Amino acid sequence: MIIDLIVFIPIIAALAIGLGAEGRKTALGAASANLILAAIVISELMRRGGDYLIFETSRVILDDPKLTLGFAVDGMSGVLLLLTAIVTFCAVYISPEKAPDGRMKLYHISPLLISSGALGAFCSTDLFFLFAFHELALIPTFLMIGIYGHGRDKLAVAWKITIYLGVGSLVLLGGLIALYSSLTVPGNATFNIVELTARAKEIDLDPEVQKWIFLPLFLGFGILVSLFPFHSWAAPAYASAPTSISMLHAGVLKKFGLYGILRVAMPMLPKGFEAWEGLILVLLLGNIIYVGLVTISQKYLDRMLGNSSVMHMGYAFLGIACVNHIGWNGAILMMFAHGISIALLFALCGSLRERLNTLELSEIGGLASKVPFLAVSFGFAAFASIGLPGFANFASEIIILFGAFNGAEDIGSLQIAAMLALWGVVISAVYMLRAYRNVFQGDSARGLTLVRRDALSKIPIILMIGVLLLTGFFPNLILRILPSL
Amino acid sequence: MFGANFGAIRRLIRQNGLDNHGSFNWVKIADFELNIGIELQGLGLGMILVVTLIGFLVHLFSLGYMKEDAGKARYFSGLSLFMFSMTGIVFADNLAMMFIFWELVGVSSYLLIGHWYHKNTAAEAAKKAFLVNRIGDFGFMIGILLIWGSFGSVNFVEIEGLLRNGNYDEGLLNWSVFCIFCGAIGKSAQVPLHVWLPDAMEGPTPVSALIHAATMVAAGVFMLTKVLFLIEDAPTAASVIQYVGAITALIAALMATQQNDIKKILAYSTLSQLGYMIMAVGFAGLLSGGEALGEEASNAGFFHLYTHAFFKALLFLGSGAIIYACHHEQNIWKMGGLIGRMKVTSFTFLIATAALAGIYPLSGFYSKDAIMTIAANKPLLLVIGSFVAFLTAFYMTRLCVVVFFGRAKSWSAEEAKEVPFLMLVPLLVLTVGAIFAGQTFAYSWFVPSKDIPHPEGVVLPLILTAIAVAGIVAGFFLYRGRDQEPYPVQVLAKKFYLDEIYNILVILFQDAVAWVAKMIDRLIIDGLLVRGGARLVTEIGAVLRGMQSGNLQGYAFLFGVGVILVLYIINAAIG
Amino acid sequence: MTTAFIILLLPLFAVAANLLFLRKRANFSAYISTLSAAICLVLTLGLSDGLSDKTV
Repeated sequence: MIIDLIVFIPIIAALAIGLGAEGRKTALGAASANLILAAIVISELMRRGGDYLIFETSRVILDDPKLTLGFAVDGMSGVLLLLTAIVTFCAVYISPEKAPDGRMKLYHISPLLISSGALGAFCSTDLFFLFAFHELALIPTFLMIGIYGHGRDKLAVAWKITIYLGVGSLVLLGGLIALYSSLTVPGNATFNIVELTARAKEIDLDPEVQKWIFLPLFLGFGILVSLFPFHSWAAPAYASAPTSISMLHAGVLKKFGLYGILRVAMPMLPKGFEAWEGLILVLLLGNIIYVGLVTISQKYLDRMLGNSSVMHMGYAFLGIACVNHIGWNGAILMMFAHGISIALLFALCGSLRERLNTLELSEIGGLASKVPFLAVSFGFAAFASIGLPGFANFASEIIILFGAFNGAEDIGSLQIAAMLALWGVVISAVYMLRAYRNVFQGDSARGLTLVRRDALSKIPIILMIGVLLLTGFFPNLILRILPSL
Repeated sequence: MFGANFGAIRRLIRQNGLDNHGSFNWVKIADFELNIGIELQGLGLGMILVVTLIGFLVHLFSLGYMKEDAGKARYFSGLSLFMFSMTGIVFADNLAMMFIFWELVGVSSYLLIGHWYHKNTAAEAAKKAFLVNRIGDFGFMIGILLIWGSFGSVNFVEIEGLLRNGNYDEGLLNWSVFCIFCGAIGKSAQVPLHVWLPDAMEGPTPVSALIHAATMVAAGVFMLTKVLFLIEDAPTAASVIQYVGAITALIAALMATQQNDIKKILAYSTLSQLGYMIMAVGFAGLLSGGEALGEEASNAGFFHLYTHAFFKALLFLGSGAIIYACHHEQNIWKMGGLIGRMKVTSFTFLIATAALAGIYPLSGFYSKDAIMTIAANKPLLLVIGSFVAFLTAFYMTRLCVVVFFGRAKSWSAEEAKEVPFLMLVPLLVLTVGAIFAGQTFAYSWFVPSKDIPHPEGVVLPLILTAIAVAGIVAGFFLYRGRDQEPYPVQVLAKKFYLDEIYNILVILFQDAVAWVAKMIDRLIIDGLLVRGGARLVTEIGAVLRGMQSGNLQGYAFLFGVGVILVLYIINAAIG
Repeated sequence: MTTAFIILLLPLFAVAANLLFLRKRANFSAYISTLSAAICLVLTLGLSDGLSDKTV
């Protein structure tokens, strides 16, 4: 019951807004309710341990093939549920009352629909609805970028992300269909993930079959996570999108692909992964090193943050590639840490955008004394994202690295990939510190507009920093509810 | 009565402290654990005393020095953050924990160097320090991962035990040690990652005294002593360590002879002395008569760390007093005649200089002897070390002659007067250390005298003393009564042009590669794949765009249709 | 909590105190940090006294 509530409260709130309820207040109410419910779920997980599925519900829709609208939570889903609840709350909180054109319905409905989509996807026990809920979340993204985005090329950006993610979804759908049909026993067709996983282990598909089903699955999911070389939709999208959408998409929605790989692809097609391991390692290094270097060359703060979010996905893929409990737990922790930190960065970037006449790094400077709270918060956010110990991001990175070298008495391709991936810590420090130095330090305050916009919403900022510090100092809080994979 | 109470407190602390192998579980995933645990013995005891004692004295000095500063609260927060981080390094019982605090020390340094962040030079210096350290940390982490892979543990005691069992790959071990050493190269500013330390002088001078003289930069040396057992079994890596240390000592000393900023001179001097320490510890892996020199060499390096902490911190705080008195003038050629105007500061500064030069019976004499005794195992390095000793005495005398003697060369020097008592107390306490830290009673409580190399006979000490005196005499006669640098040597003054070379390399590499990457991104991935495909879709899209009215009900309807369609297709595919 | 952990964590509490409570009164920040350093020094001296008996 509780999961049903969590997934559908945002949809109901969205409907209410569509029918005329007050935008921001309704959305905030829904997000707050979800935050409380998520806390309840987490505390139950802490009590029972993350291996079990809790709060399971299901409504059968079709009998053959068995299609159920069902939800359940285990440790992995629970952490992502918490992430979604936190980011949704913060995204809604920092949204202004009205959109720039005076209307407000779409502005407040969209984050709610995205939130529902993500929640439904993370908690769905059914393969079909896993996919469907995610698709639900994509539509508002396109609309918001196209209508309320920044920049002159916002329509082009909206179309670009539509095409990319559309193609990605199609590839993914193809993979899912192939997976489903290869695991179907006539008379006992099901979309239920738990049953399919058990069946996959039982049947143990032929390695060649696994290999060719795994590929579209991995690529499909990967495109949704901005895996190299299918990443160039992300940075422009995040730069153009309204702040709440960037926060939700980069922070939450992108994790769907990683979740899908860990939930569906890896458990059901282990030999498929092995066949493609080399390619996967190369691609994730592309994210970290290639996109990392691209990030360094960015001239605008929002583009830089967008590219940096793409870069860090490489580490999550590295964690997945370890194929051991250390790497996978590290990857999940990284999803959580990265989600919060990138949402935080975009929130701060949004605040800066309101106060500056440009986000071009060379045109602004010396702002620390003018906007001290922003300066300190951005400092925290920057150091969190470059993996400073004390924040959750570092904990996840070091766990992933240790996972890659677990039991490695010789140096194999995974270890070499990890060593190369480590360059990321230097690269990210370069662009982050450079950006920070350009924006906040230095001797001349430049780029501020004279008009002061609304007061800064400090609560979501402090909440997100607090979560990063808490889980950074005590990562076991998250780790103990993760399932032993 | 007071004594009895104090004794009771001591007993209470002692009792509690003896069980101090406390440990806190930080990460646990099935049987994988990373812990925050405390290990404290031997050299660690000496180190924690250096950290807390000099830390406290610097806090005291800062109360006076930073009294008028607008960012005082931020400054002291940074100092406390540093104390926390540095203590973590000293206490660490495993490599992962050490790395955590290693990075935290780096960020403390960033915050403190960049304390006056509205100054462009300070902001740049802080960024540079952090980035160069990160490069070292990159190597450090690789070393840690290699050890973890080979031994399945990162705990010092455990690794040492596993090492004794003997089944590991020696080539891999050498690489591991070298990578771990990279962390020390960064943190202790060895060549080629030394470039951040002189720039770090942008920070307030008490920060330079604490972080960039006595503790943080010494952390690299200390870390190496913690992994002594690894170095002992990695002779190739050990050799690299020896030479890096020696080269750093030499290059830095040469550059120091031409610097005109009082803090820069001291910074290069620190680099040079750190080179001594690193070189000595590297000898731990040198095989002499079939056995590695081991502990003897590492103790020599640490011994110098210990004495150096006192007299270098004293020199820096003294320079802080001078800078304060001269209204923030830092150029030595604008000072002069201060010995009359700042008696206590001058007196303590001169003692520290003598200690640094290695004059008997001050602390530096003994520690330098220990280093040279170890270095004697490789004649080339002994020669380099001796030449550095000459240069050290030389450039420090140059500094003292120009700053303290002669006539005042500027108004601010004329107006200088002694600093307040609060700031003199740390100077005096440190002077005691600078004088006596080399005596047996001062160090035997954490390392027995027999474990520190002492020169056999008097030949080596006499030669070293003669070299030091020669340096002093040369410095005195060359710089007495001068008003400006009489022998400019461009190559040295420009620090071998290393900074310029680095800047060019950085710009060339980073931006060029990044530019290439961006072009590829735009041309190939965007241009061909997406735009080509997009052109097709745009045609279709023109039709669909008619429906884009932002009408949510319309979209929900279409979505529902899509869902049903998919269901139908799947059903058809199966049935 | 052992003495060593106190030496480790006390400065961290000082930072937290400085950041959260004392931003307005800069002098207090200075004294809190200095006091923390003093306490750590005293604890270290006591600790070293006890532990050095073990090493020598």
